Amino acid sequence: MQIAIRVPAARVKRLVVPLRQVPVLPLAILLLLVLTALLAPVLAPGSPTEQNLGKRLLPPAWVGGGSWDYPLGTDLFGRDILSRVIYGARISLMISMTAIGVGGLFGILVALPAGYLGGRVDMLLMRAVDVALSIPTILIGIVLAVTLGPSYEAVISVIVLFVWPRYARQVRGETLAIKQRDFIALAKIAGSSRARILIVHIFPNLVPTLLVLSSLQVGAAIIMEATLSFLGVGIPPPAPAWGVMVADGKDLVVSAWWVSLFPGIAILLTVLSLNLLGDWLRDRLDPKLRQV
Amino acid sequence: MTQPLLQVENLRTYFLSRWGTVKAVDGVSFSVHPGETLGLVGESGCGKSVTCLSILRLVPQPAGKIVGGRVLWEGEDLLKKSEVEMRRIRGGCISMILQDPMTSLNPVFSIGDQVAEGIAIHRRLKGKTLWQKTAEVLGLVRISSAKARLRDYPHQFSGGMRQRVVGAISLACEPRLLIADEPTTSLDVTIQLQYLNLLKEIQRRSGVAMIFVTHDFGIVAKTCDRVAVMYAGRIVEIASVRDLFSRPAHPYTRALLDSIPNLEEQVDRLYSIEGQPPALHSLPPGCAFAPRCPYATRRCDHEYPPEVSLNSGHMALCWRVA
Repeated sequence: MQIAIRVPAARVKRLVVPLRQVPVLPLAILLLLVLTALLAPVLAPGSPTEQNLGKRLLPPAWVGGGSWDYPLGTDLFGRDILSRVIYGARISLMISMTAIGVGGLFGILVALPAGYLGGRVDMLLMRAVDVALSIPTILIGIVLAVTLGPSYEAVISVIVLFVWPRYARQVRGETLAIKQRDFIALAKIAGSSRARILIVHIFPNLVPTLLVLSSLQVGAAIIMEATLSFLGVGIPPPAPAWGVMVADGKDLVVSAWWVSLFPGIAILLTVLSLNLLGDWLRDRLDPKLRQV
Repeated sequence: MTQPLLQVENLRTYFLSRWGTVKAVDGVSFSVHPGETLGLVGESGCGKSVTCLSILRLVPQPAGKIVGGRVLWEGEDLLKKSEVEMRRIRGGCISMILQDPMTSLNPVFSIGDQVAEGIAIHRRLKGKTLWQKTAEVLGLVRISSAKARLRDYPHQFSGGMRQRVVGAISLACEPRLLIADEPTTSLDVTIQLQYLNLLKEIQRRSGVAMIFVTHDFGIVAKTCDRVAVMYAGRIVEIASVRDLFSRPAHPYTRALLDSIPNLEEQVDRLYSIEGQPPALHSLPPGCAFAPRCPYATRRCDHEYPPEVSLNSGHMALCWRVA
């Protein structure tokens, strides 16, 4: 009798799986987005703001009546949509990164002492977070825009307001869990000061959480910026913000669908990629799922 | 006898809880002399760990509070020291090893960094000298090729090795008292023996005094000079190891010793102490062990027994020996 020896399929597969698990497509899209933002002046075929009223509402090149001078067509003022979408990447990235940076930092600065010290400090700071979470951010954005006029600063402030309590919540919860761990006790026994324990022992353990949270929050920030711009209280025209462009086309959807569609697709792809990347990061970095 | 290194007098640490005041440590007194090993024995929840944390003033805040007593370190009361002074004492003079080596190390730092931290704080070394000293300390706890492993992370070490790394962290600044809170409980038996031998050897070489918390009488016999038996937040008997094993005075100590299975005798059932230890938030007015004590009298239920000195250094808290 003969026994066939087969290489177990699982072993062959195992080499392939990690590579397949990496979200290649989202990463590629995000890389493309960053490159686009950096190289906007090189990549864009035309100016994002130059109007050409003789060439209003030209359809995309592959539709009848379109021309390759304007690959994605033109808007109501004859501006090149492709160029505007490309420059829009700059605005979206700049706004969301700045806002996440400021909001995240603020949230962490509030939450670390709250979680570590506990007691009354924690109570006060976390009630402040609850208040911040219950503020209708869009409404604040509208009020700000109406009173101070739409500006980059106003949009960033609104997103900061939206983002920091979310960071604070997450960081505080994590800090509470980490401070109970034995290695913190051991650090105390070794004579570390409070500040040292917070900065040297707790903070580095928060980094995975912050990475995951940030990738998801950048997506939320981009949506927020687009929403405000769509409502006309965000980035002031004629700057080519994606939200503004979607709003520009909203009355023309039936006749000139391309005005809204392409910036809409840009928002969709960016946010979707960020969310997929965030999910993947969470699975990868979660200590409970990670092999010890 | 020389002056004690550490003298704990009437230490009381209470926890405020939903059910009332939990008297985790209720009037504990003992002393540790330079170079000696004091065993601290008792069942779970009798206040052994809280006693140790109280010495370092690291009782979990804000629930726990040291409400009374004195902790004299070479004659100076640690309970009156400022937080900054305490930090110099922790790690520098008194150090501690925790029970679970799997959680005692910070997963995001290399072990070199973690051992070096204490040395950097207390000895103010930097750069190459710091790294050199770190490797030296790791060699002391028999981490082979210590220098090469400085940059490894905790997950690359086995449980026994991690506990040795924890030992290295605690011993890095040559403390004069090491509190070992069940350091071998989570190690397997062969590694336990290895670790105990290592601690003994380090003690021989450096003369560090130890408080050894355990509930294993085998370890007590092997490592300790004197033993304190704790029950419900108090030390009920304290004696030299020889006296305790040959002439246990307190019924609880005797019951504990009787609970050790004897391989020579054939028995149907192993001996165990009847009943449960009392809830620490509603202790009886008399002896806390009375409800489980086979010799209890009416007096035991109502009056707390006095400290009785039997002979030099042998003390018990019981009406029977009074």
